[in-house]
Amino acid sequence: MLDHVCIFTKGGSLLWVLSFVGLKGDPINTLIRACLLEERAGQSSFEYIIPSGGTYALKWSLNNGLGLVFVAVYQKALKLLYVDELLERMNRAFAPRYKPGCFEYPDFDATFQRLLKDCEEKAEAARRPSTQQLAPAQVGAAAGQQRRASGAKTGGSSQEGDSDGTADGGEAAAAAAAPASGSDAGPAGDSAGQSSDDAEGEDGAANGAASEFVPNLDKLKKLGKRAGPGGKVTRHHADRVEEPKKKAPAGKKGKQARVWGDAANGKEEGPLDFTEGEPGEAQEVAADLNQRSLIDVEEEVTYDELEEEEEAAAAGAPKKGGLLSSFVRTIGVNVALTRTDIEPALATLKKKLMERNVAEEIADKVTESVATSLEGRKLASFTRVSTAVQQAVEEALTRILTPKRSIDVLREVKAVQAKGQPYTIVFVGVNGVGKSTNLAKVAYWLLQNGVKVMIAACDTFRSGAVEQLKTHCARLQVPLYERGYEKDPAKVAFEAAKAAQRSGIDVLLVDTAGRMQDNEPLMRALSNLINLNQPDLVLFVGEALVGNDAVDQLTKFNQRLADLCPDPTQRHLIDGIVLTKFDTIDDKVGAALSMVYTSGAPIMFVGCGQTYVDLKKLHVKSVVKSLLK
Amino acid sequence: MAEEVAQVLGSSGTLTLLVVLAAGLLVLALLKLWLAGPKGNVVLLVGPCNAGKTTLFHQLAEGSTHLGTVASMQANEAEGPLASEKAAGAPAARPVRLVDIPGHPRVRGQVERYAGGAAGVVFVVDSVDFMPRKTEAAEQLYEVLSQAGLARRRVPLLLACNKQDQGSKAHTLDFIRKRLEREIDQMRGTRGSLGDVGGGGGGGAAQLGVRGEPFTFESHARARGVRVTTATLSAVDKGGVAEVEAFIRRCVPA
Repeated sequence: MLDHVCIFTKGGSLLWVLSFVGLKGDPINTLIRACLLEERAGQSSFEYIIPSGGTYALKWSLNNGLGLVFVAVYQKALKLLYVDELLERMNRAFAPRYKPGCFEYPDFDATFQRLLKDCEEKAEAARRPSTQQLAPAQVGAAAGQQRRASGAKTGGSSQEGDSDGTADGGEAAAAAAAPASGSDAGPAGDSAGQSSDDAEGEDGAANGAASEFVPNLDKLKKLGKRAGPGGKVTRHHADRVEEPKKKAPAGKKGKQARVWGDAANGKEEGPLDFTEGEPGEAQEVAADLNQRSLIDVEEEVTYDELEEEEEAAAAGAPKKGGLLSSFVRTIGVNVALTRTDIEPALATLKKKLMERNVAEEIADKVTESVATSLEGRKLASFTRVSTAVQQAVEEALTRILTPKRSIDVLREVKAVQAKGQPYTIVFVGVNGVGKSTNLAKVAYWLLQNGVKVMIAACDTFRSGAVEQLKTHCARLQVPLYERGYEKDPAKVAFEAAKAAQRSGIDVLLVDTAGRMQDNEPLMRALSNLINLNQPDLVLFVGEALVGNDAVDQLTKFNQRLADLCPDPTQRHLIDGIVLTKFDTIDDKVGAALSMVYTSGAPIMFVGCGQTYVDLKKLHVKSVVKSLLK
Repeated sequence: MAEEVAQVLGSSGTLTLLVVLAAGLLVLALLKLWLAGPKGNVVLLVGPCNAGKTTLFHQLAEGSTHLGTVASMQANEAEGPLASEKAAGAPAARPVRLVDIPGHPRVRGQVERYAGGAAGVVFVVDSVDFMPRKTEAAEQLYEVLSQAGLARRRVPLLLACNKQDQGSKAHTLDFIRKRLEREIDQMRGTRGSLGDVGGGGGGGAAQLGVRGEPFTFESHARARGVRVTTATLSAVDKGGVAEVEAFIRRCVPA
C-alpha cells in the first residue's frame, strides 16, 4: 500500500505528514527539483530510483489557490489505482481547514484515514464485478449470454447490438465484440477490462478450438497465396535488376575502373589533383588573435517597446471568451481560475510558440504544465486572464532556459588544470550542423583567455574533414592530432589525450563525424568513443533551424549514450548544447526551448556567424521575449 | 523699509554668504544620505540548496521549525518582530521583513526583485556538506556580491555557516571563509565582464575586491564598502540563531 503521504506549502514547509513505512533516499526533494520545478508538473506520475535498489512511484496534486502540494509515495511495483482520487479528495478536504500561519493539523489524521478506507473500498468494488464474470458456464450460448450480460454491466448499448447480430456469426465476431466491451470498460478500471479479456479468452478456448480457427486458417491461406505473387515479384525484380547491369558494361567499354586507396599508386595522383600552381603556394594566413570573441564582449541588449503590441494582442483574446464573462472576471476579487478560463489564452500561446519554431510536443507539455500550475490560482483584482497566463508562461520559460549547472567552462578548465590532466571536450551532433566550425570558434576563444588548446581530428569518415581542421589549426597556431582517414575514432581520441597530457595541453577539443540519431552502428561507435575516453564535457551541437526533429535527435542521442554504456555508474550523457546558425533565424528561436526542455542540458555557446569571433552566450531574457512577442 | 531690505540683499557679501550657506546645507544633507546606509527593512535569506534557509526562516519568524521542510519552490515572506523578541516581551521593536529565496538554480534569480528595499543579506551555507558543493556556493555568493542593486547600496552580508550542531562533522568558519574567498578569486578571472545568463543584471555587474590583489572579504569591504561578516548558525536550535538575530538587528535598527 502507500508508503508515505505528506502535504507541504510551495514555500517548503511541511504541514502534515503520515509515514507508513520509512522512506529510503530522498524522493520528495527529487520530485520537486526534477519534476515540479522543471515544468513537468503536467505528467501523471514520477519515478524515483532508490540508491539501494527498488523504485518508488510518486503522484501529486496541486492546489494553486492556496499554494499547497499533496504528495503520495508508494512502491512502483504495486500499481495502486486509487491514488489519484485519494489525492484529489485530500485536496478538497484540506483546503477549508488550511490557515496560512498554522503548521499543525492533528485532526486531519482521522479525515485522512476515512478517505483512505473509502478509496480502497471503491477500488476493491471496482475489481469485484470482474470476478463474477470469470466464474460461470463455458459452453457456447451461455457464454455468449454471459458476455452480453457483462457488456450490459459495463455499459454501452452498442455492445449488445453487436453481440446480438453476431450470435450466429460464429465465435470470431463475438471475439470482436468482447474486446470492444473490454475497451468500453475503461471507466470501470483497468482490472475490469483485463478480466473481461480473460473471460473472452477462457470462453473462446472452452468453446471448441476448431470453430474458432476456421476463419483464421482461411486468412492464413490467403496470406500464403499472396506470398506467391510476392515471390514472383521479387524474382521478377531481380531479373530486371540484372539486365541493366549487363547493359551498362556493354555500352561503356572504354571506362576504366577507378582504384581507390592509400597505396602510393603514382598514376592516381596526377589526374586527380587539379589544383593550379605548386602545392606550397597555398597561403596560410594566421588568424588575427587580437579581435575579441563576441562571448567576452558585453552586449547592449535593448528591448523594443512591446507594451502596445501586448495590449493589442491581449485585448483581442477576451472578446472570444465572451465580453460579459471577462468583464466580470476582471472586476471580481479573489476569483479562482478554472480550466475553461485559461483554455483560450493557452491555446493562443501554444500557437504562438509553435510559430516560433518550438517543437509541437514541447509546446504542448509546457502549456500543460503552466495550466496545472495556474488552475485554482486566485487573480488579483483588475487583472485580465490573458495577462496572468502570459506572466505565468514567461516565468515558466525563463525557468526552463536558466541553466541549472555551471556554464563557466574556463573555471572548470582551471580546476582540472591543477590535476595535470587535459580537459576534454567532445562535439557530437548530426550531419552538417557546424561542429567543426564551432569547434574552431571555441578554440579561438580559449586561446584568447590564455589556455593551451589541442584539436583531435576524430572525424575519420568525411572527406576533407582532416584537411579542414588542418587549415583551422594552421590559422590558429594550435597543434592538431590526426591519424588520417579510416581509423577507429575512439582510439584516435585516446591517443590524442595521451599526447595532450605529454605536451602539457590544457584543453583537448575532439571533433567527431556527424551521424543520424537512428543509425545504430554509428551511435554505438560514438558511445564507445565516449566510454573509452571519459571526456569532461560532451557538447551536443544543434542548429537553430531545426524544428520538431530537435526533440528526436536529443532524446535518441541521450538514450544511446545511456543504453550502450556497460557500466551504469559511469554513464555520461549530454552535458551541454551548442546552438549554431543563430544568425539565420530572426526571432524564431524556438529550437533553443525544445532542445533545453528535452535534454535538461543548458545552452553553453551560441554560434552566430561563420567567422572566429562569432561565438556568444545565450541571453535568456531576450530569447523569452522573442518567443512571446 | 523695503528699500533697506533690498539694499541688504542686494549687496554681494550677503548674497555669497547665502549661497555658501545653502551649499553647505546641501553637502551636509548629501553626506547624511550617503553615510546613513541602506534604508528599508527587508532581510534576504539566500544560499545553495539544502543549506537550511527555510528552517532558519521559520526559526526566526515563528520560533520553531514545525514538522520540517522540503525543497522550496517559492519564496517565503514574513513581516514582524523576530520571534525571540516577541517571546522576550519587546513587541514594539521595528518589524523586519524576512524573505527566504529558494536555492534551486531555476528559481534563484529573484534576488534583484528584492534588492531595492534590502537592508541586509544572510548567506546560509551548509557546513557539513560544504566541500562537494563549494563551487556552487561560491558561484551563488559571487552572484549576490556582484548584484548591481545590492552593491550600489552597500548592503552588508552575513556568511552564516549552518548545521554547526553536528560537532566535528561541520567545517569551521575560517575554513569555509578561506575556501570561498579562493573560489571567488578564481571566478573573478574566468567570468570577466560576462553578464548573468540567468537574465538578471545583464550589464553593470559590480566588481569584486581590488584588481590585482587576491580576493578577500576584507579587501572587498575596504574597496567597495560592503561589510561581509561570518557567524555560526544552528537553525534547528532556538539558541543557535543568536548571531544571525544580532546581525539582523544591526541592519534594521529597532
